[in-house]
Amino acid sequence: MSIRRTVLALSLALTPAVAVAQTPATPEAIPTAGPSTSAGTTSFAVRPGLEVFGQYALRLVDGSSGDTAWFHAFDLPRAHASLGASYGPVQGRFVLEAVRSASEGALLGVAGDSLVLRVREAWAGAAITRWIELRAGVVPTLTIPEIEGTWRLRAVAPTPLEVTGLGAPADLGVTVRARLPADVGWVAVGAYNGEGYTNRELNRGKNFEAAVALHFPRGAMRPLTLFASYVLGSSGTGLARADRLTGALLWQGDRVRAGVSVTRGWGVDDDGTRGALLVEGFARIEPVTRLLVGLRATWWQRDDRVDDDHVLTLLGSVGWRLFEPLEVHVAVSRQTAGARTLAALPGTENTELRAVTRVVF
Amino acid sequence: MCLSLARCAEPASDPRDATLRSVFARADQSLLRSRPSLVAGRYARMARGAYDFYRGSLPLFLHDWRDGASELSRSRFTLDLPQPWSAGDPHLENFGTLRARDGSLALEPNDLDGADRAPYLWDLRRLTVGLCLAARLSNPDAPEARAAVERAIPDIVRAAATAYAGAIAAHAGGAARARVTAGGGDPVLDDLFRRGQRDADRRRELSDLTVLTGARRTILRGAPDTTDPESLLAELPEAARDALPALLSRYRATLLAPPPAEYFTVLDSAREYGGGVASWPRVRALVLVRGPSEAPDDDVILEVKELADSVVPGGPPPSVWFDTVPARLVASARALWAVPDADPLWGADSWLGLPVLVRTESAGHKTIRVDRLVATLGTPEALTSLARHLGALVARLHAAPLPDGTSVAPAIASVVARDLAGFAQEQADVSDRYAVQLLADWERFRRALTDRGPSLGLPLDATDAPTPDQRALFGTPPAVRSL
Repeated sequence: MSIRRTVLALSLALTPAVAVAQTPATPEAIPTAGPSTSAGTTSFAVRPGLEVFGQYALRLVDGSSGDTAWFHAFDLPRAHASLGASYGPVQGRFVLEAVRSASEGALLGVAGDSLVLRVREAWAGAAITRWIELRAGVVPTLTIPEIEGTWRLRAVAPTPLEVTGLGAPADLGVTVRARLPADVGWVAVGAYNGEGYTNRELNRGKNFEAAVALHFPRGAMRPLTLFASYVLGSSGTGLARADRLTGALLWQGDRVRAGVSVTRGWGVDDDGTRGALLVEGFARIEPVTRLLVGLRATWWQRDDRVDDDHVLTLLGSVGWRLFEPLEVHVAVSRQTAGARTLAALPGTENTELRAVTRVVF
Repeated sequence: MCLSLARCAEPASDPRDATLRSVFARADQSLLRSRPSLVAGRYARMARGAYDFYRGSLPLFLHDWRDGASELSRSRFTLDLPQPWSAGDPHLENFGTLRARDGSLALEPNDLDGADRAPYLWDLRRLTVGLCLAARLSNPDAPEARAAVERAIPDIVRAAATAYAGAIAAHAGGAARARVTAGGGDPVLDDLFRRGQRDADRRRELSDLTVLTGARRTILRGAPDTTDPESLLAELPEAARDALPALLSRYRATLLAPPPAEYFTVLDSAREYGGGVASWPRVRALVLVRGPSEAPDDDVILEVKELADSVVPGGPPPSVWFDTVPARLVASARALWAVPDADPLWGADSWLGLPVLVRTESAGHKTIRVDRLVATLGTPEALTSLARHLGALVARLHAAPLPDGTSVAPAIASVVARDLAGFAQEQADVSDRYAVQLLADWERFRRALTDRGPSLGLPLDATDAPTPDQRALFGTPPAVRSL
């Protein structure tokens, strides 16, 4: 309880909300220009948020000759700071994330390879009607958030769709989502630049995504969700095809969350002729209160024209929710790869042991 | 009618066209946005010659290496780990003579901009694909001679691979990493050493690149060679000139046996345009320093060259082996060369915030050139001999001790020894097929430049323009004839 009180007190202290009625009356209005930027100048309430993953990871990499290389490091897989605001049907959200300034394998970054902040989400939205919501800006896309939101163990591992680069969790664009009658789900469409939130637009083509999630209106089977999406996309200056079809059967219960998803990609890595297949099965179970168990198996066929170009990843984790905002997890994963993959991506076969903490406010 | 905007905006004529354009635009995006005229010069060079295209297309090579359907990284002799020291891009035009402290010349990799750690096959195939390409481009004015060399391509590549296998086995058995100080009867290398020694003895770089007025020597401005207007020396902006003494002071500390500080007293400096292919858009400068004495005859010219990250397939975490780019260049050179100071003035630091290499600019430093592979230097026997020497030299690079003192040579030798003849034949088959594809890609690249312009279709934004200081440093490059 003391933690909850502390969090509550902190939240109140950080909330720059001042009720309109309490605003001291200005005896005489002084003519003045408005502020150069308007954020934080209204009397509407905004809500700050924070999510941080801290991690220690030990990775053992198997070489094809039998050699093993190992590496261990403390890391910060996620540090998000957010501000959300809403007023009636209007809402907005801004999320900053910390990221290494040099991409993997590079030495040139910002001030060495410092952790820097970048925009992960920045959108303005409105509920146009009771059923339809629109967002524009750097918006969450439709597929990855649905699968990752079912998995709800992002601290343990990101969704394979993101890891493999087959999809992006956010992009610059607009989404429109409509709730279906009788609360049986939603349909949504999105239009994006298509290069993800981490890259500038490289072509005049835009990506279009359509998604639908359906579940039973009521009853014991209500957590069962059928999800499907299609991305009609392009990538790079060459405008290479980058289409994705995803189908998933998800169970979005309280203590059990699980799913099987299949994604077929047409056009990968700026090569419109290359296809890929990603199959994922996962479960997040809370068998007793506070105990979080995660299991996941992923099969990634990197190139469907080649038999031995694939990666299999098995992952298991056990976590404990110490307090409502604080979890700790221990995860073990094992990744094996086809011979072709090993030649193309050295170091793909590995075993990883991780200890992760997650705090969220 | 287009059903969507997803792809109808700029349809590519074939999927490989799209891939090629996207790969280059992604790899060069920051340069295209900040110094488009310099990238245009590089692309024009690449469009003009197939071997220059090979030199400038390392990102495409990496893309294909990672592509499961491409056979570029496919092998029965894969060894993903451990990874040896790698020259990064050891094609034949990245080998040449370097002059050591005692004045002797040795054949070494002379462009280590991409040096790093990489799978051994990465280096070997950069070499063997380059050999195939060189064979196909040899004797441009003698079709019969070229045809004879083309017929010998399998033998040429097998010679390189067999020499590599033999040398790596020898190094695994403890053979010393010998310095190559003479051509040894190899026509190309004999020619290289002969020209190198001749020009080194004459200090020809001073007569070619400087002017002596009374007792004062300065770097000339304009085109040092009037027949090559694309290589140009121009004024450096004041801020860049002012930063040179501090750079040389820090750089001096990275040398194995640094000369006295006065040695590096700056006498003159100039912006250099036109060097390299992949590095064409990078900032280069020549710096004339005092040298051993006040006398103008022993002045020394240094080249300052901007560096970038290496382009290699990567490896196990942390995926980087060095703290900084300058540290990568210095450590790699010392490990890869037979003697750590094959160029005693090879060092690196940063200048105006840019990581830079500083090295000797010497006329004795000659590089193997594909366009010299004509007549007696362009026979099947000459190329086979050259392949043999370079194959063995790449093996020597891979046998360099790692920082922990171990060697990767035994692991490589063990993999290769499974089937020596099969190993050689595999390299011959894969390399020539890729070289043929590369020639087709070259045509695609030329077409893309014609159709899409020098940005290859990358939408440029005025807000990406460099600051005035940066613009002054990048300067105005000479026009480059392309097609």
